[in-house]
Amino acid sequence: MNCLDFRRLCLVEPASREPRVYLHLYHCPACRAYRKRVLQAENELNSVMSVSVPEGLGQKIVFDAEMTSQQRHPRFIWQAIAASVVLAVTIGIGLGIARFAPDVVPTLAMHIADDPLHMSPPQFDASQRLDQVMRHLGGVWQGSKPAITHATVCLLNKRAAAHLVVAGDKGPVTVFLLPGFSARAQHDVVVDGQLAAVQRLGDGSIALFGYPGENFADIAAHFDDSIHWNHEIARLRYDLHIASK
Amino acid sequence: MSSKQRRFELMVGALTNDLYRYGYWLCRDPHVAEDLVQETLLRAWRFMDQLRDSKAVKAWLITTLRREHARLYERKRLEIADVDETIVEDPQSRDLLLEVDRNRMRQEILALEDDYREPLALQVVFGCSVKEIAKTMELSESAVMTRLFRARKRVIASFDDVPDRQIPEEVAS
Repeated sequence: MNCLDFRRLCLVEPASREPRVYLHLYHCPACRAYRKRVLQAENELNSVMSVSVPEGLGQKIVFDAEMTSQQRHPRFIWQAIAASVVLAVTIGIGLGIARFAPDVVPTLAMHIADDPLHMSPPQFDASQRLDQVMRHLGGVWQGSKPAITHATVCLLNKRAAAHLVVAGDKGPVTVFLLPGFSARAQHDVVVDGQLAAVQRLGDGSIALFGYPGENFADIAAHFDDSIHWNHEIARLRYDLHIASK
Repeated sequence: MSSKQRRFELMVGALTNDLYRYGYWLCRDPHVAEDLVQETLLRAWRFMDQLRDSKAVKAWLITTLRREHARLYERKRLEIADVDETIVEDPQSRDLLLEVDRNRMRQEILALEDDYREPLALQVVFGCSVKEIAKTMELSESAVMTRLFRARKRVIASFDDVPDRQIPEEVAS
C-alpha cells in the first residue's frame, strides 16, 4: 500500500483496521500525521451528525403502537357514539341524503386523548414551530400570532394535519388545521366535557376543542385571516401521505 | 407485557435515535424525520412477528425508512425547512472556534447531494460497512467507496485541520 492508497482508504473508511493500514502507518510518519488529522475531523463529523433527537420520541412511538393494537379491538364508547349518530342521522334525516362530509370530531377527540403531551408545559419555541408546521402544510402565517403553546404536525386518518394549542378566554383551545379536507361543519358538539366545532377554512377545515363559553368563531376567523395557503403544496403533502400507505 | 411488546420496546429503545438521525440527514427536516421514524417503527410493529432475526432487524428498518422517504419524494420534492432553522445548537460547547468549524461542517453535509450524503450517514450514524451500504443502496461497493470518498473529502476539507490539498482527487476503482 502506498501513501496515495492509504489516504484514499482513510477517507473511505477512517476507522479501518486492516493489517495493511497498520503496516503502512508503521513505516510512514507523514501518513501517521495525516491519519491523526483525519480522525480528529472524523470525531467532529460524528458530533455534527449526532443531531438531537426529539425528547420522548421512542416513548411516543411505543405508545402509538399500543394504541394501534387497542384500536383493533372494539372501542365500545366510540362505536356506540358513532352508531348513535348514524342512527339519528338515518332516522331523522332519512335516506335521501346520499353524501355528506365525514365527521372528524370523534377521530380528533381520540387523537387528543391519545396524545396528552400536547397539554403539558408549553413548548418554548412554539411560535417558531408554528411557522415550521405551517410550511409543512403548505401555508404561511401572516399577521399577529395567537398565544400558542404547542405546534406539531400529526397524522390523522393517514393524513398530515397541524395540531396546535392556543390560549383561549376559557382555557387552552386545541386547534386542528386540515387543509384540503372537507369535514362536516358542526357547532357545540360535547366531547369529554369539552365543546368542539368544525368549520371550513380555506380549501379545508378547522376543528376546535375547548371549554364551554369559548368563542370558537373568533379564533377560527383569526386563523382564516392569518394563513396564506399554497394549495399545491398542501395537496401534495396529503397525496404523499396517502401514497405512502 | 407480551413478548412482542417487550421486543418492540427493546428495538425502539436501541434504534430510535439512530433511525431519527439517519432520517434527518436523508430529508434534512426534523419534522419529516420524526414522521419517517414513526412510520418505520409502526410498520415494524405490524410485522413484529416476522422480525425474528435480530441481526436483520437493523437492515430491515433502514430499508423501510429509505422506502418511506422515497415514497415521500417520488412524485416531487417537498419544500424543506430552512437550513438555518434545522441547525442543532450545542449549548455545552464553550469553544467558539470549534463551533464555527462544526457549523461549517454541518453546512457542508447539508449541501451534499443526496447520493453522497446518504452513504455517509449510513456509515457515520449506523456504522455500516461499505458492503452493507452497497447492499442497502443497491450499488456496487466501488460506487459506494467513491461516494464516501468524495463526501468525506468535501466535508472534512471544511474542517481546518485537514487542508484540502492533502487529499487526492480521485479514487481508483
